[in-house]
Amino acid sequence: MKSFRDLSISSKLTIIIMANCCAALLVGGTTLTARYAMREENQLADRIAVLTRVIGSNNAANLAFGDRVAAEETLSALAAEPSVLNASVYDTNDHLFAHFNARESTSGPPEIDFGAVVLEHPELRSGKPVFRGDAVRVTSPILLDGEKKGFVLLTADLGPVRTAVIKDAAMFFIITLATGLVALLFCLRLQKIVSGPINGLVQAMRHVSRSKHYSMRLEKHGDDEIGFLIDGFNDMLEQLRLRDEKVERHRRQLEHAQRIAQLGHWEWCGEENRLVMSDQAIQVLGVPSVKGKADLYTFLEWTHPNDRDRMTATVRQVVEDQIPLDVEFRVVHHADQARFVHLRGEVTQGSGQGIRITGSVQDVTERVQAAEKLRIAANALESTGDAIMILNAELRIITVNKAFCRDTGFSLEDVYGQSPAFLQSDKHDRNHYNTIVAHIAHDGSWSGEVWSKRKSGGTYPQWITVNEVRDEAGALSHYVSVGKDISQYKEYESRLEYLAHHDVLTKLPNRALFEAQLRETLLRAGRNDYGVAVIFVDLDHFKTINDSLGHAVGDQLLQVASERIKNCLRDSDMVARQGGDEFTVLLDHLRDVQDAARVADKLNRELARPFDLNGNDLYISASIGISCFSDDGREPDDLLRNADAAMYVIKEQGRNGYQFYSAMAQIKAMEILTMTNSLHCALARNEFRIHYQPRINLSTCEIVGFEALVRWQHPELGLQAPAQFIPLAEKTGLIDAIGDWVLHGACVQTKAWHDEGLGPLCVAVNLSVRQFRQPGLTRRIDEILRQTGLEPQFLHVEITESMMMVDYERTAATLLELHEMGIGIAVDDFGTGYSSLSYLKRFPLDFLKIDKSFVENIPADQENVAITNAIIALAKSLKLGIVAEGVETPLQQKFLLDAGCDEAQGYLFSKPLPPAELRTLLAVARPCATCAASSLGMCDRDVLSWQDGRISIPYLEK
Amino acid sequence: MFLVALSLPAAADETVAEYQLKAAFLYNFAKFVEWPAAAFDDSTSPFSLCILGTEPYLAAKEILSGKSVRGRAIEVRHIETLKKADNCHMLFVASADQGTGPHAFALANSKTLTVGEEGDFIVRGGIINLKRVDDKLRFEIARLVGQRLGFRFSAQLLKLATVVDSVK
Repeated sequence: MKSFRDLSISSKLTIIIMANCCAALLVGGTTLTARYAMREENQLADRIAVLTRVIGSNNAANLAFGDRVAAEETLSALAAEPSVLNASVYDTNDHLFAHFNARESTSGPPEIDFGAVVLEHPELRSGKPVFRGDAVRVTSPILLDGEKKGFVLLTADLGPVRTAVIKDAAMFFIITLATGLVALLFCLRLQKIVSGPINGLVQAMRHVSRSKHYSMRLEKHGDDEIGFLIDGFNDMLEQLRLRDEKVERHRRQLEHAQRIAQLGHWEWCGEENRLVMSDQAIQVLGVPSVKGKADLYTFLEWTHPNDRDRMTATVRQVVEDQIPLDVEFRVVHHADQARFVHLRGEVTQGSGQGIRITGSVQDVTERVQAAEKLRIAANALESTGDAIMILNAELRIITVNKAFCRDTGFSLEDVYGQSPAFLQSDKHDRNHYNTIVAHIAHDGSWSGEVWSKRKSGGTYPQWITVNEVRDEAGALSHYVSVGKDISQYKEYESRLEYLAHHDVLTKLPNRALFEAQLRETLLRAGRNDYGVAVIFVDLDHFKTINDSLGHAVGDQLLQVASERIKNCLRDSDMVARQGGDEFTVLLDHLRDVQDAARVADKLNRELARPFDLNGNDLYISASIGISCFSDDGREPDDLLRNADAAMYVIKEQGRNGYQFYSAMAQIKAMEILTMTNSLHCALARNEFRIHYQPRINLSTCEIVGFEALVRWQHPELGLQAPAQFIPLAEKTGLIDAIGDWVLHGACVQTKAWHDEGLGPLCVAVNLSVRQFRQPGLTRRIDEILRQTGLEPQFLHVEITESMMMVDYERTAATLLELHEMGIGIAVDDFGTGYSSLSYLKRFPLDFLKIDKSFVENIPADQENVAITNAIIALAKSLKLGIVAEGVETPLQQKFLLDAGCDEAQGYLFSKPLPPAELRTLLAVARPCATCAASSLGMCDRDVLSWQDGRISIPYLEK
Repeated sequence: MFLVALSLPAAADETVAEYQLKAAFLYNFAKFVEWPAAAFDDSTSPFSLCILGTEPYLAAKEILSGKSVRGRAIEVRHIETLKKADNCHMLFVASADQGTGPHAFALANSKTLTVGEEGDFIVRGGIINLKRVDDKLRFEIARLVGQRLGFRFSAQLLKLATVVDSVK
């Protein structure tokens, strides 16, 4: 018989549900029936008890007066109660007094003695009903005025009640049975909901386990536990499928790998001495297919005769010591050619006779041969005299030979893993190594000279050949570097080279080297933008000295002269002996042709000095020709030739002097001369003008003064700005006269405006360096002030920072004098120089003028804003006035005012104006500018305009 | 003891037995008749049973002394004449002492329930009369007379009695 565990889930479910159902129905039904039966009986008993009491009470008088007839009459009323079987009344002596019998046939005769009845059922006395068989008995005492007169005993039949209860119980059982059947039907239907999917799952599982069809999937019907089960099942199938695929893939890979690796598999069973081999193993060993007939002896036959003893010993050792088998040996291959085979194996089970060894066999002929080749190559590597390095593909040293260690002093441990770059000496720049690497990468090899370092610190030249090594696939695997020590060769070579390029007598470079150097210099010069000049020097009268005083003196003279020439040059310049008494000089990095002229001039002077040779003072001179790149030619030959030609001009002109070859250079010189000349004349011709740029008080918008600026009204070139002629004027010294003139003119003009009543205006005049350094400056200014009658406080002089910072003592003295005279001192272009705060503090200054380059683009330019703020703060801390230059926009004006700047000048207010125009401006603007802001409405709108809440004096056009 | 007397009506001395049974009847009457409330002085005052006749008195005295009815102790008094029957709640008149001539027993006292044993006792104004029928002691009750006097008879008592309402 099947145990419950083996039943199907549907049967289990049905049984469980039905068992529960029946148990509940039975327990409930039985309890209810029992309760019902008890209640029915109790109710009957209660009713009988009530009747008994009533009968008892009704019989009190009958008993009291002993009326038996009346008593029985009373009892006969009980016939109305069908359940009453009989009733008896007993007197106090327990004697029967009256009796009633409902059914004569069923009830026996009444008990005569109540005492006997009570003896049988003692509880009757206490009035409790007594159930006996199908009858219930109840007694009740008969009381009269609290006195017991007797008892009533009633017997009732329980039969009808019990019959009714049994009927009801039977009905209930039938209903229970019917309900159970219905429940069974429901159960059979409902359990399919649960068992159906499980059965499906079970069938699917059987199907999968039979067919191994792991790609099958079950459909899920819900998210209950069965749903999870199906998910799990599907997941499991997926895992199985993946594992299957993986296993299959691995199997194929292994097969493939073995085939590729020429790896065979074999197993030897010691007991039967049977050798089983895979096809690949048979192929590797190169023997005919043996199909299980092979054994250890046949195997030894395949082994090369020379290896047989070794093989036998090895196999014996493996069998005895249970150690892994690992041996290389030769087989007699079918092509009669010895092949190397690597046999591996290990004992997989048993020992002694029952041993079983499993292993692999692989053809390693190529590897063995390659190893042999390597060994030979390694020997060759070690025995060669050249220093050899082998680098890996990442250019790290992996091995070096003995010769390398000998040459460099480094051991393999020192250099292993290093980049060969560290072997390079400092004679190469950083890129040299990279260049070599790039070359190898491009060409596959490189050879050339390298200065290498020794471990001891010394350097030596090497001729190095680097070749890359590629593997069979053509991929780069190594580099081999072979280096030859060429120190001796180099020494020899440099000696030769020196001799080839130098003059033996003077040790100067010879013509060839000069030309080579010149060529190189010109190449560089062509790329960059600087001047190169070639100077040709010919010693005058040398031939005479040589002829008269002998070659020895001549040679000595040449040596000294060459020294002098060298001393006139910078280190970067070069001098060479062309031969005879001719020298050439190469000047590099020239700023202008004047530099070349200066060198030439110096050479003239140096060579004109007497030569003290053996006590004799010899006088010679030099004729010098100069050619400039690229005006006088672009090729070395051209430049040399032209310099030579220029030299001959001097020779012809009477020696001792220099001559530029270039006509262009001459024209330039002419131009300067013309300018200088006309500058000289300009003063005399009264071509200079003074323009005045107003200075505005930013708070009051008042014109407080102006800066006097010189202009040159050139007859041909028009109005020239100071930048175009001041440098020349400074160079020629004309600046003194011009400066003096401007100072005078400005004072005169200002005094005139004062006299006109245009207000206490200050005029600021720029002092040039030369002017400032003139010893009589203060005296001259004093003189001018006296001549013009201008009060000193209305004159300001402007000097630049750089002027102040040179010769502190003198500057301080001059400035103090000017200050004591009452003249204002302003520092022009402030911020562009290198002012020291401590210097500024010591000088008696009145104003700082912020250079216009800092005012530019404020407030947008944060850097300029910072500088301007700093300058203003500095001026405030030194209690100096501050004037901003180059103010062009209302934004700048507003920013400066907010930043605390006192005064400003610039095109926003007015450009520098000729005196007549400025006078007009002063006449119109001054009264207005001095007035309060509220009365500005009176101002001429053409001249002044109201912008951004500030007065603005726009550019004036007349 | 009482029931023994009841069940043995003719034992020993016939007369004594007869009166012992009658004394028991008197006792039972007291239990089934309700006196008007005014009949008693208070709730503890005794129930006064007066007997006219020596024999019945002795019998009653014997079996009723110490008993009580409705919570009142029974006081058995012997009276010689009817005139002395004051303050009696129940008066038994033995036939020997009844005398002749009409007696207005009922008028003697409204609280006195009169019980007799002579055939014309009711006619002569009595309320309950004991008489022997078929060897059994029975009783007659003049219900209306009693009710007029304020007595209330229990239904059970009336059921056992012969009610004589039409005598007067």
